[in-house]
Amino acid sequence: MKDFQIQIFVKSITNYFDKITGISSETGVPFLKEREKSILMEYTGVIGISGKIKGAVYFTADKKFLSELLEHITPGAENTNENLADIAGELANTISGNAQEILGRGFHISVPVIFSKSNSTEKSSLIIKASTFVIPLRWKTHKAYLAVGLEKEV
Amino acid sequence: MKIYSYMVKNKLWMFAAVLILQSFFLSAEIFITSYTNNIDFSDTPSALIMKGDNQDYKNIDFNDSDWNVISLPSNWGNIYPDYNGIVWYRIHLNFPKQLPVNALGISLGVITDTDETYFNGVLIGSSGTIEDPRDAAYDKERLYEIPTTLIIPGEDNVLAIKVKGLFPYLNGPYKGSFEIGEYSKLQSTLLSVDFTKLFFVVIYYLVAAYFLLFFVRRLEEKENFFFALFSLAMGTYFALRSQGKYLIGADFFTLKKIEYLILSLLVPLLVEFLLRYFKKKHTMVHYIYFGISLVNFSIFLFTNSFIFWDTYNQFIQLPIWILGIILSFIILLSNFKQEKDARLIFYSVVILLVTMINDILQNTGIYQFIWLTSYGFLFLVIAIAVILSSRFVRLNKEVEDLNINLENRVTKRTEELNNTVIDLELAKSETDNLLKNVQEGIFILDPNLNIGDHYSTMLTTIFGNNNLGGVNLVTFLSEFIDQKTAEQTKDFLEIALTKKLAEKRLNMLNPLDEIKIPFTIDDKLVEKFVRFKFTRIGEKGNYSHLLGTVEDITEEKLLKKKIIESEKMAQNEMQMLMGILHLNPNIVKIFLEEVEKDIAMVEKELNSARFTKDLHEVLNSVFRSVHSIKGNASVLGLEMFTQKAHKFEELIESLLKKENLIALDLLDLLYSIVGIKEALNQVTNIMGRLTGFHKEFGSKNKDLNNSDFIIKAVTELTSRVSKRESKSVETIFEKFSIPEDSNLDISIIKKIIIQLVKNAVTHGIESPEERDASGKNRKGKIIVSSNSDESGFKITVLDDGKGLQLEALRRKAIDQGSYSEAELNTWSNQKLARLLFTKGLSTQEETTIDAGRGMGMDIVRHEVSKAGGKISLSFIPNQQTKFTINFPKN
Repeated sequence: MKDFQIQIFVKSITNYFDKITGISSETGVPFLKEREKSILMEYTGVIGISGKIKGAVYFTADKKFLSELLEHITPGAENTNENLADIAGELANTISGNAQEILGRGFHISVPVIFSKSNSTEKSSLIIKASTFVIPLRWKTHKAYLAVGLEKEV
Repeated sequence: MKIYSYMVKNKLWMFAAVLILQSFFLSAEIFITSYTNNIDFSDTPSALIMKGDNQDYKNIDFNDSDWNVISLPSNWGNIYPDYNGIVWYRIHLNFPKQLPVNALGISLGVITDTDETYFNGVLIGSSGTIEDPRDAAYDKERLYEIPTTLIIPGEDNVLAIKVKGLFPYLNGPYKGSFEIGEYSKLQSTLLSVDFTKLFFVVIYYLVAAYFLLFFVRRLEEKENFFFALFSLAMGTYFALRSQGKYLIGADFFTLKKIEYLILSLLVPLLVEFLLRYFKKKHTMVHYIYFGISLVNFSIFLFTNSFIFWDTYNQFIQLPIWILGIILSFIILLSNFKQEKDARLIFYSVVILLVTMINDILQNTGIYQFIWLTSYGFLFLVIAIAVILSSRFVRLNKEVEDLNINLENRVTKRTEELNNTVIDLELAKSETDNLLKNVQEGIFILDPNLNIGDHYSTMLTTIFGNNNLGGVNLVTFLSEFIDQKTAEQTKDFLEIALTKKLAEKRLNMLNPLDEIKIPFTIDDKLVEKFVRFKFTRIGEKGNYSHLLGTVEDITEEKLLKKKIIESEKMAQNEMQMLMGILHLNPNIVKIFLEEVEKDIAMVEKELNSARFTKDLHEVLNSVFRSVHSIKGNASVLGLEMFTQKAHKFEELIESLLKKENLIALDLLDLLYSIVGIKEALNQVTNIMGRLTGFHKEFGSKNKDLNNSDFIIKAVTELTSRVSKRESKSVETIFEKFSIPEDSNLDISIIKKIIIQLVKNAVTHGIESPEERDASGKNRKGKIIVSSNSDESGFKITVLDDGKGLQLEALRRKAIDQGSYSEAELNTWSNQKLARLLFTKGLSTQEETTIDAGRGMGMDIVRHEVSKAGGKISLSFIPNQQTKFTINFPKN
């Protein structure tokens, strides 16, 4: 993926925050994920990409992040697993929705998959062959990551 | 009397009987002995003849003793030649005492010409009118009833016949039957003869009718018409020759005329028929003959004399007939051999002639026999009728045969066609099979660039569309290709169809050599590459169609790509290999370790940056590591690393220069990191493969110690950089050694020395020309030395170049805007010198790989301070520059 495309992804998330919450978010310095290390937090939404290139885009955030977000969206809602997963899903959907536009024809975007850290399947599915670019996000002091792991473009 | 009548019947004794019996009759008298049997008195001296007319001759009691006795039939021309006046005949009849029960009659044969017949002075009958030459009766058989009331039984009765002659040569009762008997019997005998004749007539008429109908049905066969006419004429002639004509009471003259007219037509009709039947051309001879016949006909038509007609008939008509017969013979003989029909007709005509001759001879009285002419004619007509009918039958049969033949042929043809259909079906199924299984998309384009209805199954697979028949190719492809290519395609296809281009040239113009098509397979979107090829069908320059093939070349392309990539990789590897081969593997190993360290440093820097605001610091830090990589790579001559690092540096620089730099902007760095890591991997791989090799071929080299390593590295660097700078420089190591027990980081020392030496080469040492000009040795010299004592470790780098260019530094600083001119004017030389270590300050105009960025010295400073050391410099303008680095003992 070209850098401008990743930037669009990031922008879509930050815009989302701005719009929904009114509180702007911050992006940090992007870095390469160390292969063995996992950056996954408590909830993660993954969008698979196939076609010209293969890989995934995922958004991972901790409970605090999501519950605050939940509070903003549906005030008074309970911090249940489902609810939080829903929020994560929301964000993932946002990404997903933009993905097709950003990437254009020749790409197939999968339905977002949400899972929490307790799921054991995560490790296997997220060790992507490609290098993973991680963009740290901060919103209201809460941290999240947007990660893009794609094989080299054909 | 019985004996007499018996003997009369037996003509064998005729002559004798005449002689004998004549003596019995003083006067010719017929004794009627019986009423039941007919009494035939022909050829008996039973009649008396007298020339001249006298009404008394009819009387019973007239004295006819001086009359001549003759027998009947007879031609009075023999007695009275050339006399056609009146002649009387008298026949004495002696009747028995009883009167007959039934009426008696007497037949007097055929009398020429007209007669009045009296019995005992009473007129009992007449034929024709004596006074009227037209009302003749010269071919009528006389049969008169003798009224019983006039008979004087038991006594002599007299029959008197008054005859008026016509022809000078033939007159009187000259032929026929002369009998006395029951009238009804005689009549039936007469009629029975006629009956035969009429029977013939019927046959002729039937034949004529049949063939006339025939002709009507088949107008083109005119022979049927002429034959019908011939038969009709024959029939009519025979009808007219019968006695029956007298019963209808028509005018004798008219009938006779018709008779002669018909007679004149007979032979011409036959000739015409023959000409037509045998399909002979009408020649001039024939036309002359027909002309003569026409004249002949006209003569009969326009003349009115029996005598004339009779004479004419004998002397003129006969030769004309003969001419006609000859013409007929010619026609027949010309076809004699080939045609059975000709032979048959010929023989029939011959037979007819024979019969005619027979009758003529009989007529002249040479002998008596049956009259055969009528049979002859009948035979001819029947023969021809048979021929014509059998021809019809034959033709019919031929038609039938043809029909059967045709039927057979139709059956055969149908069979053939069925077989052909089967063959075609087979062929079609083969073709269908082909189209189904062939691995390319195959289709035909018509002149309007529409896809044909039959195309290979693969085509539908490739395009995911099975309704391609009739679709315009260009319109269809517009979905997948851009406007320009679509237009090019249209032009190309049109050229293909209309221009006489060579195949090769045409292929060069093909814009569809490779196009991308998106596919959806199993819900996944993939892209394929296909190649279109076109072959022209038809006559040169006037091609009717194009044959198109579509090939899925995705694999091919991927393969090509892989090949190119692996080639590139191999090239890279080769390059790297070449770069590495001359190097000591340990050196390379160390280099790789250092690069790893450096890149890890970069990653760590970014990894830990997170939400820091000091992005420039991050960038600078990253730059240092990258620059180090570059330096190291450059030393070893590893172009790939050097290039990558250089690009990385450029990227960092651009970011540093960027206004409103944000964290996300640093994303680009990650790509570069990945690139270098990949290169690192590559080299590590190669190294892995080489290590074994190297071991085998023995590096009797012991491991280099640190000093040697540095010396080697720097020496190489010098030669490389000086070459690049088009300068002649050498670096000499004097008393240089790194203490073994030193806790100094060798890499840092190496870095420092390398940077300083590089600087010396690029900034210090002048070009050979400059050195020449200033009287120096063309070759520049850099001396690197070290000293280790209790206080610490010292490194000196001395070059005999132009020394520090304070002025240039000052200028640059002003240009950069870092300090104002005024300010700079107040500075001491020392202070100015320190500008050297300023980041971003380089007196070099351009940035090259080796210098210009102004970061080198800053890095040196950084490294020195990191190691806890101090750096100082001194210089003599145009003579030398000396850097001294002191590392304290700890």
